[in-house]
Amino acid sequence: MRPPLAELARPAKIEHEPPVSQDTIVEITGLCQRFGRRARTVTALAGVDLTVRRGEIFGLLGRNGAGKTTLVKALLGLLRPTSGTVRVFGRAPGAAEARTDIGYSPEEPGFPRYLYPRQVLELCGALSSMSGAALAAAVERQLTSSELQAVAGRQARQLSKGMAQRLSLAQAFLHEPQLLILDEPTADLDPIGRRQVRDLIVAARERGATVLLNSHLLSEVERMCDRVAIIHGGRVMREGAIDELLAGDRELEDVFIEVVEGAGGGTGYGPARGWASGLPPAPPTELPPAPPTEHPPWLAP
Amino acid sequence: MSNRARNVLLIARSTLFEQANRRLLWSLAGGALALVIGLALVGLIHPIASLSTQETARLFARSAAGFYTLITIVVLGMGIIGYDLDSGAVIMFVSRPVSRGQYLTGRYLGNALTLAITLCVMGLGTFAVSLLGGRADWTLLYDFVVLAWNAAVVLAVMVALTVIAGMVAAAIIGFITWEVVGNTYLLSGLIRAHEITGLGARLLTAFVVIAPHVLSSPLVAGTSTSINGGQTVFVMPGPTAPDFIWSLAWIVGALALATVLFERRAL
Repeated sequence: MRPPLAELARPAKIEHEPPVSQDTIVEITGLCQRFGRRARTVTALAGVDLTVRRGEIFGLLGRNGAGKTTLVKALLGLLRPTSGTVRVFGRAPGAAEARTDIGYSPEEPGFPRYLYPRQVLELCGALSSMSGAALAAAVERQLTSSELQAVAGRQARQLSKGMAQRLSLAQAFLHEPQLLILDEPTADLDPIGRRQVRDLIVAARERGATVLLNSHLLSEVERMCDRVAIIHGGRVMREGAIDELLAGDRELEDVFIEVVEGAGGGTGYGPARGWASGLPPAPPTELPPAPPTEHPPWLAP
Repeated sequence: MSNRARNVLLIARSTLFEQANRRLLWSLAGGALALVIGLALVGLIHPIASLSTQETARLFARSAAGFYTLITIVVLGMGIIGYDLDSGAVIMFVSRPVSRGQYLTGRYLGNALTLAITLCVMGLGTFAVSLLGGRADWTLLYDFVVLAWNAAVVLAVMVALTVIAGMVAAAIIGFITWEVVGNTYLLSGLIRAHEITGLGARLLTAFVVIAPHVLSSPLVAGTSTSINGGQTVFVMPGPTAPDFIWSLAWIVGALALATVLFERRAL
């Protein structure tokens, strides 16, 4: 018997073993992050509480400007939080040693412009305490699996967006870190590349790694993640296991829109309607009739 | 070797690779050699009447070296971390177990090495030219060591400037630093000629006294400035051994300041 249409429309969930253990890898308490001074202050995070457990794939969802990337940067010690605490592997991420077991692929990857992909990977591996034959083998493996061999003769500045994304992912996976933080990892990839990245993420979890996935592709999140947090206006609006959120045959997109619209749409800093919110455009505001203009005598009709 | 030192050396090495890949290293070295040898040959062919052929060649070659070093410092200094900040490459470094201080120091060392290679080529070229004059001029090599040391100080100052003010400002201030400090001996004449008094005069005089010990340019060592009918008011001293210690302190201080400022910066 053919499955119902609704079942076909929903992407098949990748079956996996439950997380290896429930230890906390990331612990964020009351995190606030403000930028600018006085009147120009922008609040990017307004009291985020979040935990990510060992061995799970954790999805971070939110609209553009919701604070996801700021949160990721706080985890890496790239920002100094205005208040609150961040602990990664039980340590403050500002300390360089706390980042030993982290692999990070940013949304907009940047590399030393004149290095070749192999040199980038060798440098990244060496900075993550790899050396000798192990480093050479890991670099070779990543160059092959990321299909970067084809562009081995190009410098980083000459790579296409997709290839730069592959290089970014390759350097993140290179040293087999315990925590992978992937910010829009498939944004610039073709469908085959996306599938390869999904396989890599699932394989990383199978070896016991924890993955923090920041993505706009809800179908991807729905397929891979164990738990999800929806951020809006710098706050975690909903957090839970994906199965709980999708109880009653709901789709993640429905849950996401419900949460965001329930919080007032927009990026959280003001109401928004229109194509991005899923709501119809706001009706034009009717202006009160203009008062009769008093013309000066020399312009009187 | 500690992890910190290893990280610094790895970043310095990759910076050197980068300069080689972009052909900047070879362009600088080749350009330097061509300029020094070219000018030195001009000096050999057309000696200044009051100087010997060898002295003319040496004067020309040293002038070329000073000019070219300044260009090299500006080109290298403005991009030490400026390009990384623009492209986001800095995140690739500091999202790993690398502190911002290690990153800055590594980038600084890599660029200082590039500069050192350029100066080596210039120094050897000038030395070779001095051999054409009939006698090996060993003082030239000492001059280049001092020149490299000065350049290292300005490069460190430019690292701090790039963190605070960006690439263009770093280039301009680096240029001014080199030019002003290199010509400090002119300032004391200026103070007297314009009859500057009070706090302004005291500050300028202090600068005149201190600056040559920070950047003791061999190019103007022993140069004097005079006003009022030949009255010598200041002679630019040559570098002394303690000056090297002072310069080292400036390098460490500039890099430490850059690190403190960089730590506070959101990436």
